Amino acid sequence: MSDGSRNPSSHVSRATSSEASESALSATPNNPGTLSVAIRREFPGYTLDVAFSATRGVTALLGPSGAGKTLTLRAIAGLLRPTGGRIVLHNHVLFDAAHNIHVPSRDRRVGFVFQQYALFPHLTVAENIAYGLHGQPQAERAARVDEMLSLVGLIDFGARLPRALSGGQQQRVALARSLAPKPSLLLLDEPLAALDAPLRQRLGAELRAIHERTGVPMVLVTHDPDEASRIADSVVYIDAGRVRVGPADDASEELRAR
Amino acid sequence: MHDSLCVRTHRLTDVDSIDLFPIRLSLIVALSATLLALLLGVPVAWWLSRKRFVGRSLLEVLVLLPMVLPPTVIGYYLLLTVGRESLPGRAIESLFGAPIVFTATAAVLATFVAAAPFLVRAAQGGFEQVDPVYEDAARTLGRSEIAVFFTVTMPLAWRGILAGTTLCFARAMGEFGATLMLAGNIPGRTQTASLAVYDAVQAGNVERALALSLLLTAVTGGALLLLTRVGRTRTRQHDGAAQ
Repeated sequence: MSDGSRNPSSHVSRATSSEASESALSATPNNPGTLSVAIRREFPGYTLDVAFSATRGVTALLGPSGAGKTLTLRAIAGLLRPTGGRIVLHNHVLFDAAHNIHVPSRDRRVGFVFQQYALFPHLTVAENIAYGLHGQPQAERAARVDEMLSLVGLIDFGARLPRALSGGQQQRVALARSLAPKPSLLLLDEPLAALDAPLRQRLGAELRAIHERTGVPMVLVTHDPDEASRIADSVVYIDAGRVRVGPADDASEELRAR
Repeated sequence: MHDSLCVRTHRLTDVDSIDLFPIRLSLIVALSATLLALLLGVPVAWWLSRKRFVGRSLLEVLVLLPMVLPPTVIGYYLLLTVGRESLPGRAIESLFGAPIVFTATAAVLATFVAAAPFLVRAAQGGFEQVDPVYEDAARTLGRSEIAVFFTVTMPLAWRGILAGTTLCFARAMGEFGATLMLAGNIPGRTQTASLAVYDAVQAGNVERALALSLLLTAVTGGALLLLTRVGRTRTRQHDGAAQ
């Protein structure tokens, strides 16, 4: 949640935003797998003003703490309402300030894996995964829960409570829960940050494998350039509330040096 | 001395010799007021814990005031608000053909105002313990705000809500001053157990005072025991759920 902190040193760049927004939108029409984001939101002493587009595959939002990566993710999920701009996913407008469109989170079909997983502590693993499958017949729900449990390799853990699981297992359950309702996009906020190094390597590879198997496009937030290049197909570099243009390698080098 | 104690003990078990109306009325009034407090107080508690709005501090103070004001003052304010001379009071009288003051309904209203703050306060604390990230997670999983509240927020805040309900009921059973002001002390109509005990002591009827006191203690104690047990059972079922 460090991204939520205000950054007093940031400055406003209205021009960059509108240019980027137009270029992002013009990329949309003929590519159904595209997410296009051009948003702006003012906070006291800090302005979030980012624009990028993501195609099929895994996109990493890379940047230092407090850059606005998590806020961007929350805006895409509908958990944060920007003051300006537009968000389009697979040709569906999720947010458009000019037309006062703000599709609520529940109708976006955008999955979210939170940094601390946010598994419901009062529900079992199976109940957590079934939570987004409300309204479906019991048999279908059970089948989908089993399918998800086997996808993340936790078939025998359905009856456990989240607190009885290790960090890595909790991470897998969070992934299974968000994928169960078949989202058209999956957002992951620092999905590996809470894990130790060897596990991070393994779950990074698993995440990539799950992406290949499900085909769900992913946008993940990370402050680790190696992680970004290992898991993601493309990288968007965000700093001080804005997308930084220029060679990604320079930005990565700079981030490593910090 | 020994003899008279035996006689009293005998009398206590002889239910016919005690008028149970005040105990029954106390229970009905306290349960009604607690139910009303749950229906109205839980949403207010949630509102206070989740939303930032103009006048929020004012509402918070307004909710807390009945906890610190003398019950007679609460009763007097209520008398000014819904009494026969007030505008709402006259509206009620013309609508129902009878005034609200000096009725059992007035006792419920007075008890509700005096006891509900305890529920709101504890429930608000319970809601504040629930990390909003769980609610966000539920939203991204396609659930409506109402469903999020009942499947995530409430189950995670139940400890505070239960504690508040217990406190509210306890305060309601002990209500005296506000009820006296608004509902009066009419035997067989608005005389609750606490008022009946006062009357009995004033009249020098020691047996009746003791019998009512012991019964009130047993009934209230039993109800609190039940609520505490509910809390413990749920804790075992969802071990550590609200941590």
